Formats: sequence, C-alpha cells, structure tokens
Amino acid sequence: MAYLETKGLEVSFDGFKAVDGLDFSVNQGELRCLIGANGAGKSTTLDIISGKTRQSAGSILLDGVDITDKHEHHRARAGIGRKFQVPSIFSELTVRENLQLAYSKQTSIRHNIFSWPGSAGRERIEEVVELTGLRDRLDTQASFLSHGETQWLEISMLIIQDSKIILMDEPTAGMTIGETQKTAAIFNSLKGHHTLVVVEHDMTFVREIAEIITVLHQGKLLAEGTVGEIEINPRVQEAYLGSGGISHA
Amino acid sequence: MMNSKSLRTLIGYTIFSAAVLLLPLLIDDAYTLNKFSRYLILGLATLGLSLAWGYTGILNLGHAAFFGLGAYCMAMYLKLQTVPVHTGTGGLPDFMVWNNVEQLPWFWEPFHWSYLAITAGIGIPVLLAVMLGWFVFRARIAGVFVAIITLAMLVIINLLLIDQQRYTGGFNGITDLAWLTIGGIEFDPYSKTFYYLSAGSLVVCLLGTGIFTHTKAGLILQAIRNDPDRVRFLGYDVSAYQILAFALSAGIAGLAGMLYAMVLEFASPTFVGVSLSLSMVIWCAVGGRGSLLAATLGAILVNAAQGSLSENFLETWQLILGGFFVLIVLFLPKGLISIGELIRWRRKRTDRVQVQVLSSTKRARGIS
Ligand SMILES: Nc1ncnc2c1ncn2[C@@H]1O[C@H](COP(=O)(O)OP(=O)(O)OP(=O)(O)O)[C@@H](O)[C@H]1O
Ligand SMILES: [Mg+2]
Repeated sequence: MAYLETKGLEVSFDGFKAVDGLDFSVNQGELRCLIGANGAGKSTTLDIISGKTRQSAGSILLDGVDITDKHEHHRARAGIGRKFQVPSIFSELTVRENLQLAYSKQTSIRHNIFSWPGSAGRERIEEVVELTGLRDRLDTQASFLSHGETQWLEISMLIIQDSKIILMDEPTAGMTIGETQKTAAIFNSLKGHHTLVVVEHDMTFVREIAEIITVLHQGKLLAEGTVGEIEINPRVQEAYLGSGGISHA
Repeated sequence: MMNSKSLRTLIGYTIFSAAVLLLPLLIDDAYTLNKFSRYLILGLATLGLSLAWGYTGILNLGHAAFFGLGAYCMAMYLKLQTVPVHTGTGGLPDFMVWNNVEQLPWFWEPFHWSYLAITAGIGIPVLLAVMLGWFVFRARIAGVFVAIITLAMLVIINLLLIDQQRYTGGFNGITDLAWLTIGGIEFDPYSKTFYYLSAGSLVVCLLGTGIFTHTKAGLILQAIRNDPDRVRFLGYDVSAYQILAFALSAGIAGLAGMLYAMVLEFASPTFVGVSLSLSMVIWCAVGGRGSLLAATLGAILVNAAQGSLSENFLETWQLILGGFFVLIVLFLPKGLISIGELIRWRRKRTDRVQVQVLSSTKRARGIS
C-alpha cells in the first residue's frame, strides 16, 4: 500500500506550472529516487509535500490520511522530515544544539520549558555523530562548518529527527566521491526503517541506492521504473537531450 | 553538561547579582539609592526586551507600552490609597474632580486591592502580548512589519491615555501617589527597603529568564531567531513559542513599569512614549541584545552615565547616545559585551600563530 501518495498535484508561479498534475506514490520502507533535468519541478514537489509551498490543486495522503491542508509543523509531527537543496541548518547555533533541536519527539511548550536540551536523545546524538563523523565538531558554531560538513549536519539532523518519511533534496551536492559513497551506505541502512524520497543528479549515487526511479519532466511524471529500465527509456533520453544525457544532467 | 560558555554566563550572573544586592552597603544617601533603584528598574524592562528581541528575534519597538500599562496599574492603586484634598478619605482622585467626574469609573474599582492591582500590572501586558502575538505570529508577520505593528500599538495606547483625561489624568498622568505598603512593609522609594525590592525583582527575573533560556524551549527560541521556517520542519509550532517569548517579555516589562511608578511616584504618558520605547531598544543594543545580562547592564550603564550629567547637557547627550548607537550597530553588532569576545578571539589567534611558528621552526631544524 502506498505510504505517501499525491493526486493531481499542481502549483503555478505567475501562471507557469512548475508541477503539473502529478500523481506520485511511494511504498512504506521504500527508497525512491526522483530525478529530472534542472527546473523539472523536483524541489517544488518536495516543497508541496513538506508544506513549504501551497499547492493550487491536488491532494496529499500520508499513510491514508489527507494532510493537504496541514501546516508544516503538523506534517513534521505526522512523520515528514525534509532536507533542503541549499543546506538549511541553524548557523548561529553549535552543531550539538542543531542536533538537540532535531531531536524533536516532544514539541509542546509545556514539555520543553521543563526540560534541558541535552536531557533526551543523548545516545542517539552520540550514535549519529559517530556515523557522520561530526564528533569533533559538536561544539563548533554551525556557520564555521565547511560545505560538506554542513551537508552532513543536515543529514544528521534528519536521522535524529527520525521521521517516518524523509525527503532528501540533493544530499550529496558538493561532496567528494568518498563522502558520497559513505552517504550511499547510510541511506541503504535507512531503507526499510524509513521511507525515503531522494532527489539526486549524480547517477552513480542513484545506481547505488535506488530501487525504483521516478523521472519528472516539466512538472509531470515522465517515467517510472528500475535503473535499467529508466536508462534505456527513449522518452527519458529525449527529455534529457540538450542537457547532455541522463548521467550528466 | 556545563560548557565554558554556560560557566562564563553563570559567573557573570553571580557577580552581577552580588554587586546589585550589596550596593546599599556602600551607599547611604537616600537620593543616590533612589537613582540606582531607577536604573535597575529600567534594566529590568530592558531584560524583558532582550528576551523577545535578542533571543527570539521579535523586534518590539512598542516595549514601553507593556511597561507603561504596568506603571498605570500600580499608579491607579497607589492613587486610591491617598486621601484626596477635596473629597476626603475614600473620595474621588483629585484629577477626576477637576474633570467633573462624579463617580469612580468601573474599571478603577478593582484597583482598590493591592493584589488585584499587581496581578493586573503583569496580567494586562501579558494578555495584550498574547492577543497581539496571536494575530501577528499566526499570520507569520515578521521582521520590520512586527516593528511597525508594535510601534503602532504603542502610539495608540499613548494617545488613548492622553485622550481619556477624565479617567487617566491625560498629559499629566496620575500624580501624587501614596507609597506601597504590603504586609506592614512600607516601600518608601528613597529607602533601602525599596532598593531591595527593585534589586530583588531584577535578580529573580534575571536568574529566572537565565534558566529559562537554557531549557529546550529557550534553545527553540534561539533557533526561531535564526531561521523560523526551518524550525517548523522539525515539528515545533513557531507561533506558539513566539507568543510565549513575547508574553514573558511583556510580563517583565509590566513588573518593571509598576516599580517605576513607585520609584518616581507618578505615571505619565511619557512612560508609554515612543522616545522611551526606542531608548530601550538602544540600551539593549548597546549592552548586547544576544545576552540578557548584557542588555540589562546596557540599560543601567547608559542611564547611570546620563544621570551623572548636568541638566543643560542632556540635549547633547541624546546626540552622543545616538552616535554611539550607530557606531555599535556598525562595528559591534553584538553590543559592548562582544568586546570581550573580540579580545579572546584575537588572543586565541595569536596563540595559534605562535604555535604554528614554533612547530615550523622545529620542523625546519629537523627536531619535531
Ligand atoms: N518560488 C518560485 N517562484 C517562481 N518560480 C519558481 C519558484 N520556485 C521554483 N520556480 C520555478 O519552478 C521550476 C521548477 O523548479 P524546481 O526548483 O522545483 O526544479 P528542480 O527540479 O528542483 O531543479 P534543480 O535540479 O535545478 O534543483 C523552475 O523553472 C523554477 O524556476
Ligand atoms: Mg531542486
């Protein structure tokens, strides 16, 4: 059964349809890659699902529940976590504080005025910084991190947030080959426990993690299938013409 | 759990609290004591502002509205405690008689009781903040628009107070107040008792807010200042936290306002004035809005400096203060407190350079 489902999703910016009648669904525990040329509407799709952008038509179901009219924080509580294309972290706070904020099982004021930031989720944070190599940076202010480290920080935040479904927008952008491989390993370990939607341009990375790929083109669903199927799909090849072919898109 | 930053904060709070509480040992002069009480009270109001502005990023230009409402609540109570010249014990306040009011208006009635008045002095600002915050923050109004709306609120309340002369004393405000007496203790504004009331209120609020900002909720407020949108995607209801910070800030301002009416023995529309409100923002910025203690100190120091000047120098002083504010915003955006930070950073950097030089000379000599 579909865990996340969008029906006829549509959004337009000044008459330009960035997402145009999108029907898209992901099963529980699946890792889905979302690809497409620049401007295909990938980020906008994640924006609508996470509540950042309001759709002009269509609906979104999460685990069978309609969340179309919910605010971002309600969607987050319902289990949607989001990593942004431009890494979005709290630059004025330390790495540790960023991670403590991400540990957000308790969101109510009544709970949080009576608890210390470090009192819950400490083991979880320890585990994750071990995994992502940020241990030495825990007390560093996030604005002093390198680009790669900032990516890791946001990925760490998502892992700690422990959302049922995680939307990742270009998580490996700006990473070295080694770092990208490490990310692939982490994502593969998240599979099954979490449902993931990963937007990515790097086809090597996509091949390492993807089960099924969804291709967007001009705000519409163009194709869906395994890596092998997508790579030989003539419509996909056509859509990528002019942008140098699928693996360089 | 105690890192060096928290430790430094703790030391700062302790030294400040001790200094403030021990000051009367050095000062015997009633007039000076009264002056210092006044500075501490303004420090308290600014502490409240720094909670909203410095911590949560709510630029409230109407902070004096909360302060003034507190002051008027206390003034109404203390006015009813006096014996009016014309009407005798229990009679109408004199300014109402002059304005041909015949009966005490209904909303003055609760101010016969000290506990109700004190509750109102904090409760009314808090309630106003919650109501305004509800509209502003739920609609996701931010930044300069919040500044404009809060400023408008201030101006409206100021005009109302002036306009409703029959009930508020208009331009003159409510004057000739009694001294507060609670549980047999009389708070003569020129006494040590009153100084301790002001200093105690400040220390309690400073420690209370200090602890509050170290809770998870306090961390969430800082995250909201940094990037409110990102906070929402973690599941926190940003507007609720903003309303909380705004209300706490207003409550502290209300308390400070009540003390201010007591120390000056009157309340007037200048307490709800644009000039005072903007001054509070300046004190906060001068000390360092990101730190509760720094903002408080900023208010105390600027006022102490101002208080030591002669009357005819005051105009020039406003100019100097304005220039000072511009300089700080340009060169020390985190306020005077960041001078320490700057020095520490410089020193660290020199240390590191020395270590590097040392290790490279060693390497050059093949020691290492
Ligand atoms: N807020 C906005 N206002 C106007 N146009 C927008 C806005 N956001 C996105 N667009 C447009 O919508 C289209 C889809 O953008 P989107 O960011 O979703 O693409 P994408 O598939 O994520 O591309 P990329 O691979 O470059 O990240 C683009 O043409 C973009 O210019
Ligand atoms: Mg994008």
